Amino acid sequence: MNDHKKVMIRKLPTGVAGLDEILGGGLPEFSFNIIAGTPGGGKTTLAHQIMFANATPERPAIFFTVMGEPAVKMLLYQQQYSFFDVDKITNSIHFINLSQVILGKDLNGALEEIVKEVEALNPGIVVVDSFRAMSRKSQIPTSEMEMQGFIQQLAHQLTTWEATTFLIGQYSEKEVRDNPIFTVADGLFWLSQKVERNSIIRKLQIVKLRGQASVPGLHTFRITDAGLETFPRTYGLNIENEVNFGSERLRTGIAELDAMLGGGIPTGDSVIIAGPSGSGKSLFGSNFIAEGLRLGEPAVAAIFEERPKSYIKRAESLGMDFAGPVEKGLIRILYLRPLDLSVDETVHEIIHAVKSIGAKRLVIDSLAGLEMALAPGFRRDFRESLYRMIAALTRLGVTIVSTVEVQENFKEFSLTSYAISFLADDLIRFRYVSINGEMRKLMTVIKMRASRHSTELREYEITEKGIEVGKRLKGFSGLTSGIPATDSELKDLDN
Amino acid sequence: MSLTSVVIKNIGQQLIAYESANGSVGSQPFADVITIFGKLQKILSKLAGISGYNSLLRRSLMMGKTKAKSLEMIQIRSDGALELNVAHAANSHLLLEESAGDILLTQFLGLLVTFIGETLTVNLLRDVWPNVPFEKANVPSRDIG
Repeated sequence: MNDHKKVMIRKLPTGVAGLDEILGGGLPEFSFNIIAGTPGGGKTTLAHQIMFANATPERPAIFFTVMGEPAVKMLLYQQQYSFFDVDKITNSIHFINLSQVILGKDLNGALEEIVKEVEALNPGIVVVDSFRAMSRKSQIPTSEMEMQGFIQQLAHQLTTWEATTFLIGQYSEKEVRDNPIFTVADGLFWLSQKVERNSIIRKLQIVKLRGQASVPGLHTFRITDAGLETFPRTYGLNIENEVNFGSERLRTGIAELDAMLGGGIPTGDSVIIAGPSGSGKSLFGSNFIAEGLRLGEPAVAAIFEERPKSYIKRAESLGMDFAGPVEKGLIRILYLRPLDLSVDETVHEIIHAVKSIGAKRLVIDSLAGLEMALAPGFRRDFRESLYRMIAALTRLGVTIVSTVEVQENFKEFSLTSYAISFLADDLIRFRYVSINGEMRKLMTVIKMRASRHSTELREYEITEKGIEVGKRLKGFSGLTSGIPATDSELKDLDN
Repeated sequence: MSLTSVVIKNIGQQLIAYESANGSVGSQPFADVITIFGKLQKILSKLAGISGYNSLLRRSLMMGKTKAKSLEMIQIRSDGALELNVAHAANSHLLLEESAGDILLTQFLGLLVTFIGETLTVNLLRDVWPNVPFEKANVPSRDIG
């Protein structure tokens, strides 16, 4: 109750998509931070984004360059990003080169120069790039202790001047763990990039942040024309969505199947459609979307195995018009197939699409395609990632249909290739059966969480009208093996 | 000649005209250009460092000399300041081309625009010469041959 007596830390925007959420609301004002990482990790770009997001003529930003990338070239490259506002340079953002000072003097000389400029310009943001070069390039050899002392003095000075400070340094992961310099900092941002086979995985970690709770762990990020874009593991879903799960049933567009499901799929459920190649899983997904459109429910399709044009065309050949609704914004078709995708990035894309059109239905076609699109490093944790993805998406209240390819054999009735059936509220299995020299198809509802459902094995066909569900296959035993025997055959065997 | 080149040339001429009109330059050859570069040095050394500024100026001078021989009369000091090589100028038989100063300034500003762009270059110049109306340096496209 005495919160009003405590000083509140104002939080500054970072200008980086997703980063404010990772930091727990933004950058703590007047904090003294270190941005460390491996070469090419985006350290300078991150600092620039923070400067451009906060600098004003009244509280400008100062960017001190020290022996690193030539300032003129840095400006050339940074201008390519969309956040770079040329009109802020000289007016709200000042670049000051300290190379000569460092070459000619010791660290105290550099400190004097920094303080002089800070006193003259009264900045809100100060960046030193790279502070590590200071110890390496100063004329007088600098010990670790001297460097720590320098950083401590710098922190005192800049905090007194009410500046939020960022020191940029190139470090390896091991150096960050062991370096006492980092104890001085209020915040430590670690940016890394790792090559895995032919993919690059970029990750950001807030190793420490005084004064507020940041989201722990490694968050993937990309560097695009807009600069850094982070994908927080919390997916922007900190606030629980008020969804009345299972309050209604969503029709699939296949009346007989809806009857098997007890009226349709409960709202907010995650459904897995498992089956072999060509069994109609994608068609089921399209049906689910088309039925939603008929009922005025917008849908998102995240596809990995075909391009949006052919997806739309295939639906059209079965009498489903997706082109019009796409134009009207009733369907968003996401084609996500960069080869170094992360699950977090995929989920962010999907969440953004679901929110932007208020989608009630989501089709992920297929989980095998998603796995192939991931960078190799992410494939190792695919099961865990899927768990987080489904959990995050269902919190949105959207009803999810995911297709899963099952390698069909005629010995067993496997449910999915990834042992992920526990992720699904509902599981529908398609399979081939060999009957009288014909390959026929059957479907069955394996499970529906907290809901009664049919346990029948129903034959179905794929026709020009779509999926047509027939009657229960009677007179056979061992249908789930794929090679059933007729009841009369079994009787003969018994005799 | 590209629009940018025309604009840069006009800016250079504006700067020379401004400094000459202000009477801040001496009567020595290249006095106007030396004054302008003295002012540019202050702001650009701060931005790019002395070596960064020096390298831009050195390259501009080398390129300028291929177009105006009389630029041989000027040299760059180690601190980045431009100066007249008095001995060389006295003994030289070179004719002082009227446009030599323009050429050097145009080369320099052209390099700067290549790296940091026209808008940022003009913003920096505005900081040094707040009274020069640089926007008038823009030339309508129909005037470009």
